[in-house]
Amino acid sequence: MQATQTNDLAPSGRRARKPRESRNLSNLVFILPSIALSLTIIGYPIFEVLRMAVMDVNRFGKIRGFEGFGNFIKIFSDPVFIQSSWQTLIWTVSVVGGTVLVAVPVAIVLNEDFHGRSIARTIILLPWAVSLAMTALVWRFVVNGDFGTLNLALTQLGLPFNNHPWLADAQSAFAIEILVGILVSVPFTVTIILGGLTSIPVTLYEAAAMDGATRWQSLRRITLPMLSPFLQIAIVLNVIYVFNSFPIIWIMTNGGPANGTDILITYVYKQAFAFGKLDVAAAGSVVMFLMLLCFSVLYLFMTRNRSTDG
Amino acid sequence: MSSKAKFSLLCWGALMPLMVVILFPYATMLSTALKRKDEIFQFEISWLPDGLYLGNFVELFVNRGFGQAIFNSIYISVGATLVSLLVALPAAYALSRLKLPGKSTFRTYLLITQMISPIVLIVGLFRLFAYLGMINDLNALVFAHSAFYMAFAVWMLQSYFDTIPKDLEEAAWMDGASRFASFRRVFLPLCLPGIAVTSLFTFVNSWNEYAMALTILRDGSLQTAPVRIAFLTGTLYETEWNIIMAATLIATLPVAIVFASIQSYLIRGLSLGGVK
Amino acid sequence: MSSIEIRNVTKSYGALQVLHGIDLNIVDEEFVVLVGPSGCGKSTLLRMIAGLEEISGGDVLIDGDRINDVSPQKRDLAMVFQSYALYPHMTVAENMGFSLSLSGAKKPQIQKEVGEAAKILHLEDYLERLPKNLSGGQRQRVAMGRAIVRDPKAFLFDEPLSNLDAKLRTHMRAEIRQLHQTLNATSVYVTHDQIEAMTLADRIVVMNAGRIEQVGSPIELFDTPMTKFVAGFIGAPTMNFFDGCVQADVDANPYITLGADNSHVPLPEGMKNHVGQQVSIGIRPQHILAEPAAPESGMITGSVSLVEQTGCETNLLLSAAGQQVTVQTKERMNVATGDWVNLSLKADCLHIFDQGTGRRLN
Repeated sequence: MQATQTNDLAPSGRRARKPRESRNLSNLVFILPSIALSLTIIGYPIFEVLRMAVMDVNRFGKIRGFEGFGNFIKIFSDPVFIQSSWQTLIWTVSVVGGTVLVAVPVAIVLNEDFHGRSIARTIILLPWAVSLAMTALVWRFVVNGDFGTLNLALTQLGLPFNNHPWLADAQSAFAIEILVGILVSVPFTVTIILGGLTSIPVTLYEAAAMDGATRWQSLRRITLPMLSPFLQIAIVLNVIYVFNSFPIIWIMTNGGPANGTDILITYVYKQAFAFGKLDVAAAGSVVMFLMLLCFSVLYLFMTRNRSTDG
Repeated sequence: MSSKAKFSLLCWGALMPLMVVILFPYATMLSTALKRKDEIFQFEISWLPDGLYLGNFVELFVNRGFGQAIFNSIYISVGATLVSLLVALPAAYALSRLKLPGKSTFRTYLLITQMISPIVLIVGLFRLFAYLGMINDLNALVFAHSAFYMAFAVWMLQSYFDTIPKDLEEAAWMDGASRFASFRRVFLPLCLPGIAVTSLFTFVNSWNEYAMALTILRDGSLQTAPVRIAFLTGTLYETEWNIIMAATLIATLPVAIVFASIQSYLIRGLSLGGVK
Repeated sequence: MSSIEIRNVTKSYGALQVLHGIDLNIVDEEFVVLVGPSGCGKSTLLRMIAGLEEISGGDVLIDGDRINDVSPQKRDLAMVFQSYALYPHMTVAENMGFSLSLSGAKKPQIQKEVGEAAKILHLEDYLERLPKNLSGGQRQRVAMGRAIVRDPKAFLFDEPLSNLDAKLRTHMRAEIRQLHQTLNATSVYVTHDQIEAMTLADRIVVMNAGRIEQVGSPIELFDTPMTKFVAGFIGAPTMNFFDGCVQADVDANPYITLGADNSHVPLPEGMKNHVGQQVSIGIRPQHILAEPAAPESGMITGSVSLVEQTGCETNLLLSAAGQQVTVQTKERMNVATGDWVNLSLKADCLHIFDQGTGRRLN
């Protein structure tokens, strides 16, 4: 009944230890199916894309020979590629920035307790449920110059927009596409931010109120700082999604007029499936992936710095 | 007026501009889908159709093979949901509950699969399925979708699993429940809302996916609903917006209703999971 | 019901060892309480008995059978969790009948058993409710009901009352003790609350830093704590300790001087052998007599810094012998802050510990 001290493990202890480690290893069975699936469907295409990017491939996918950096030189000397890159930058920054600017206040309102909140939430999140392709299609119809409902509504409001061809001009077309892009990104972002808002304990606000903080001050000094990790996640994921977003531009303008709304993804798609330049398209994909990688590393670097500073 | 009613009005007022922009296309969709073809191209266009005209829907299903497209979409979405759940459930359970060598590596791996968009890989995907002889095979899309939506399913499930106290399973073990019985009778019922939400989410994503479906299913009879609808705009000499909007309505409405219903389930599920 | 035997059990998380060779015998029908400060390893030990925590070394036996590698499902023990761990999707009746339904019992039998348990715990009116619609005390009862329905080999309690308010805690404490008298179930109970330990236990196991300090009945622990840790842990208010060196007077009788005072506290005969040793003298606040008086040479004198009147007792916080001293008396003392009192220590109530090892010397 007395306590005795033993620092070395009894033999039975060693016996107990072995099956534990092998059991941990056997737990890998739980994640193997997911790894196998994604390695096949995502891993192999990555290999293919990397391979084709340095090969000379004909339009039927037959590899004719080694090309080295030739494909990369081709795309970098293509003015349309350069133009598309700039437009991708504008597209990504505008859509993600706009989305965050819209989503934060909307989420804050949706987090308040008011009549009909769940209906309001449903409406705001609705665009998430709809295919990007169909959203794009409907908007293409809405802004149609001749019989679109936007012009109808604007005309009825007394504005001179009868038969205004919104998509015929690259600038207005791109602007509209950005707006649609924001619209479809808001629901996802609002959801993440709402998750963040509900994780802030109410007592924090009560404590702040006791400390004499006004509603606005507690929003600025408590809500926004506490939201920042959620905002970071939202921004990173949105950048990835928006950078790669295809259907909106493809369906509304097909990158036109005159490549004025092409972004890298539509450029690559056209190279592959309109011009049959599979090798060039693969090189474009690699470049796109490298750009995202740079962004991720940059992001990691920035957040790492901030967390060591603070 | 009570202060809450006033506050509610304020909130709705603040959200109104965004709501108008969100709902505007739906109004357009609905009004156009119920119009005759000639009504759209009239000089004097109007909001309300002359009467409830359902001919567009008939035309869609009878002459445009839209029923086939809906069937393809359902097949792919249900299949992708099942397959992704099948691989995501054990993975999420392991991440949430089990000792696992290389847990953080697996997490990073999942993140990386999310960084790679299917469209960036589209050329490689096409070659993969060509190699497997699965171009123009609906199952190709089932696997492609489940692979790309799996990571998100794992995250959602894991975060839901994490909210369920480990005590409950331990209590079940003490009550004599085997690992499987405690999973089935305690764990599963509690995370059912989470699984439901994850499934619906995957379903909606798969239903709406466009680029992979466009690329891998080349045959017209295999097109999914979104591809088919987008296709309708391009193939005809004159774009029949009334038909297209009718199709969009059909493809959108059920999913939107399903999606709206997730919300209440989510709220109920969370309040259930919150009891300790 | 059953006996539980713990033989040289150790627990390590990687390089960190949290339990250092625990030996303990729990006999049939005994109520044993594991008590100690948080982090002492008491919950870990309980969870190892339950099978929820891997045993790094040593053996756990139930009724003489080694169960180290038996899964918790098959150990036939019942556990009441600190969080209660009620299944939120099941009614009270379903919660209580869960283990029976798992073992394949028929519905009428489950109903009967659950009904009986509910009667004992006054839960008859709540059987169809969900846990979220119960008060804290009711949830606690359901957790107990879940344990008693199935007639297990032993009950394990993991701080089951720590989520209740003080009044309910006292009440449930009595109920648990009464329940034990009715059921006579072997019970292992973990708590950090020494009053709970004192009132519930047949035997208390005091643990500290992964080791057992002492095992004994509540009165044994109170009267003869074997280590300074146990002496300080058991009893409220906490025991007073004075450090000093054992000295011998001209007749070779051992005594000690407390603090800077020239006080002379005689020590028991047995301390003769410890002359010159550095010791800690422990005395409970109840065993110090305080009398208002002017400071006097040869006495321990203290000035009152705080007076607490609880109604049936008076607690004095004094500064005496260069440190803080607590005195508790049943008498109503008429003293105020700043007053002087003379202290005398009951000679037969001294606990003497070695300053280095903390072990009891008398």
